[in-house]
Amino acid sequence: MHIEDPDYLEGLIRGDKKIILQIYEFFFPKVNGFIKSNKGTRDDAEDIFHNALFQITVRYKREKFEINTSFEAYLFTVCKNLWRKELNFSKKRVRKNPEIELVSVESITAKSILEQQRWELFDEKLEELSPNCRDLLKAYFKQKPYEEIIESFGYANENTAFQRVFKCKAKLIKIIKEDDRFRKLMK
Amino acid sequence: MNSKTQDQIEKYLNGGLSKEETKDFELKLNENYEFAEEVKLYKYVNEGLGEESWFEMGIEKDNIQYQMMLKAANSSEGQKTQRDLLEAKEVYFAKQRQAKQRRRIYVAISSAAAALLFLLMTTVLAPSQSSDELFVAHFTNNDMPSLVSRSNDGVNDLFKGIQAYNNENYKEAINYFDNYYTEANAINPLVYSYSGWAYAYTGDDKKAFSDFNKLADSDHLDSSKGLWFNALLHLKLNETKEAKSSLQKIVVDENNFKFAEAKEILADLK
Repeated sequence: MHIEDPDYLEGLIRGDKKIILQIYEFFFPKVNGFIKSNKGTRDDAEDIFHNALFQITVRYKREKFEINTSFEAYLFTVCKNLWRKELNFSKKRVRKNPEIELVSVESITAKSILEQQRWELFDEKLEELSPNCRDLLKAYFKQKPYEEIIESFGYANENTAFQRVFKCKAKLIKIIKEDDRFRKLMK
Repeated sequence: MNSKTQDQIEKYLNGGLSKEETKDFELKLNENYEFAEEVKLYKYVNEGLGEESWFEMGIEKDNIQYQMMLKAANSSEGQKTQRDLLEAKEVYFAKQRQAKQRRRIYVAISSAAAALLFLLMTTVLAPSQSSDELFVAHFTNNDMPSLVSRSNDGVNDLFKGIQAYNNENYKEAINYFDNYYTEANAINPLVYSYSGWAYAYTGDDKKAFSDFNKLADSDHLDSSKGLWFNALLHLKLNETKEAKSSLQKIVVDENNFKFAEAKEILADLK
């Protein structure tokens, strides 16, 4: 049986080995499944899962934060973002981009924490938009075709939908910039 | 910022500006720091919230938040956390490897035991067997169905699930099958054979029986496989009475899967 959610985070931060093993037992298979179905291997999944746990612990010990979803959902999002980042890195590596340099695990972790915080700020602000704007942008970010968006949201034509996406995105950018965290995270 | 500028930013990020327009845009980027920051924010929001398989957030090394987290990761406490987590990782995957090895040994021993049992049964002793011995003697992966999907819905999850099942990654298999059951427009009831055994191997017998019953209750031509797997799982759990009940349902129709074997087992259980 799964233990209550708050105990996972608390146990992880405390370094409770029993809890960490339970985290692996209950949540690793889903992450492994996701990574393997997105161009990765089991080894990749093991590394990403470990890095996610390290990232969460370092961040929490430095700056306590709240998880608004379940621990499982949060951990999965962190792993998913780390894997997206890793795919980006691999893409650059394949292209032999000169920007690629050898960096320490700690440096990668620090960057990942900042990226995760930025992502959380964007995602949180998206939820603060009006329901119509929020749903429209979610559909847009999911790359739903404009024809589908026009039909679902009842717009007259593609141009109207396009203009509405523009306005909603401008609003999103505005409220992101107005948040106190923006300067700290972006500058 | 006016909508024309926003339009230009979006077009630039999507590669929609002409060569000349791109040149002018990049000139403005180099000259105007505020504008460059705005463009970066649009880029990060688009990539971060988008469904692309990757994103770029361009972390600057002089960012104070980055420096602070780097210091925390490099601190002795951070290093201890890293060591503890690595140790836990090692322990977990070592256990996984051992369990896999144990399963292999179990299969080897089971096969040997089944062969020996068969020898004894057909030669000298011919005794009645215990339930779990009957399970070992009668369960074979060859009885698992071959699946062909008639639609594309959830087909990826289905085959990944079967692959994970065949690799003995039963929890992973369950996740895939769950996705399949959610996504597919028409569920192939034979898939319940796989998810049922995946549940059985992870110790969730209740869900295993539920899946076998779904197969048995379906209109599929091979629905009686559900009865057979139901009986085998009861045998595995030494639940002889329940196993008999499922086997009796099989022997009422000679067209049912494993009709003859079911009769033999019922005779052994008497």
